[in-house]
Amino acid sequence: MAQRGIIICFFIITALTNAAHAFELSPLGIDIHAFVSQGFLVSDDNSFLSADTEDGTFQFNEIGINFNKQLTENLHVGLQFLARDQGMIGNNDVEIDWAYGDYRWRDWLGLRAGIMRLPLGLYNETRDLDFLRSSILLPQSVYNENLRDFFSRLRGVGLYGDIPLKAAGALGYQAMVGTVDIDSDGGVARSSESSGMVEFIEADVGTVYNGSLQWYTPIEGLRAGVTYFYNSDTETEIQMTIPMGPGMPTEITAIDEQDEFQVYVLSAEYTWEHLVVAAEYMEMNRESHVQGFPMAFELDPVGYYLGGSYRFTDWFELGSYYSIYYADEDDKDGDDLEAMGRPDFRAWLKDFAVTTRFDFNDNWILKLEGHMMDGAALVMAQENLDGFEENWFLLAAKATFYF
Amino acid sequence: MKRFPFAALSICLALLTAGIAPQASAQEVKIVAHPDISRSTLSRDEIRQIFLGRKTQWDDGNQRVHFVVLKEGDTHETFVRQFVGKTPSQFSNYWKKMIFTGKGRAPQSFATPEDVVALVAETAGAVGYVPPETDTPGVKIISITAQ
Repeated sequence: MAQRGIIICFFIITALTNAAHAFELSPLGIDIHAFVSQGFLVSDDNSFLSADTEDGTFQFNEIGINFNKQLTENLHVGLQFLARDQGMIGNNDVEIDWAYGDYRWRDWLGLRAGIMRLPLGLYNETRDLDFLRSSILLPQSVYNENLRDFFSRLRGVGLYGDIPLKAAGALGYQAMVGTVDIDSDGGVARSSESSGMVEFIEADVGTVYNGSLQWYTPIEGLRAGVTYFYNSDTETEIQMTIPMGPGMPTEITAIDEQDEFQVYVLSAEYTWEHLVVAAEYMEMNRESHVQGFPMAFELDPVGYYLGGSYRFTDWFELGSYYSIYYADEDDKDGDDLEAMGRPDFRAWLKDFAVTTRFDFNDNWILKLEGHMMDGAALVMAQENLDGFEENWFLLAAKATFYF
Repeated sequence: MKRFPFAALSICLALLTAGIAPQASAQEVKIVAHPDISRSTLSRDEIRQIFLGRKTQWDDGNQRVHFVVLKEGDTHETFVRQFVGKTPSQFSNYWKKMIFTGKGRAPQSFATPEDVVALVAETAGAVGYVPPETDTPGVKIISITAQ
């Protein structure tokens, strides 16, 4: 079924490749845009992103197609299908990426309802749109691919608007409430299972609250923002793979109850001519317990990065970032992990990336990117049964067609 | 050794900033609007908000702003640099972001200033920009204020 869907998507996109710009279904007035990306990942150690990167993998692609129509002066509807593959995740299953109605009553107040991309940091809404940025991989300190199920999209309602502040610039806001879907084969599930203690069965996510404030400052090209994500009432059915206590059997099914899960991201981006510099800081807190068992867990990851890009010509752009992620802000040097017999460098991931982007024309781009990694946080155990290395290198390449 | 990434990043950023940006043309532009629009002036900030899709209604709240752009060329580059604060590729990327997240439709674009004038003249709520020497029958010329 998934393969049939992906073939249909390919067929539609291929049929439209003569269109160098938006394809419009006249007289219906429906705009159609699409993109196809194919990437390659290879690392010298530590298979990454749920993919077998140590052997090199082409299981790294996205395909999307969207349809937009303005129904009335203030009402706009649209829908995007997305299929992606990232190693063990995605497998090119076609899913609805976003589909919502958007009623803009005034500039300062609009209403959206449906499935919407979720703002978290500067680039989460566009994380699958490779052609909108310099790098192939967003800094994992803030845009953790393992948790994308939680942060990709929200099914619910939202308010948004833009408020001019005269001499103080302008303010853009979004506020959403709804829920998210967690794939039992996705990154969240695989992250849970990476501990080796549990098998993820399914998650019932409760209400998610999400908000974003973007301040377009009076300083030309400078914007700053804060985004926030909150969820508390999520229950995850898990199966224990180790005994819960002396003499107790394994394979007990239990419910992991999330008491609190919140994330905030502080962001700043400065654009001057062809130069873009961005910095972001993320803090996350997750507290949970297992029903009926004296087990409580708390995770406090923190991450930040500084990056920049410069477009030298119409066809060439160079970018770089340095990203730091700590799995637990109270154990940045990994002493607690070491005391448990695990490598201390699993406590952090420091990623120095250099990326090049080549725009062959308005529809085709190619990117090449190197990542010098220090640490193995965010690296899953399932793909690294022979252990982890502290210092490693990841090479990424990606070609994208879009219109 | 631990400092290497910071040093390397600094060198990269220094290299990036050392690039020579193409200079914007000194050519000015003329803002044109449909004659029924009540406004005869727009501030630079209002023009920016219009062409970024953040100001979508004229002041009475009943008429929708319909902005149009030139596809490319010196006038387009001058306009987006001076009034929107973006290079043409950044302006294009901004609208791709809006399109591919469902937040907006691509601006209507035209190859020639004459086409822009013709569309603005016949479309209620329309606003656009053209080179200053362009004949502008049937449209209103909008004065630009600092604030």
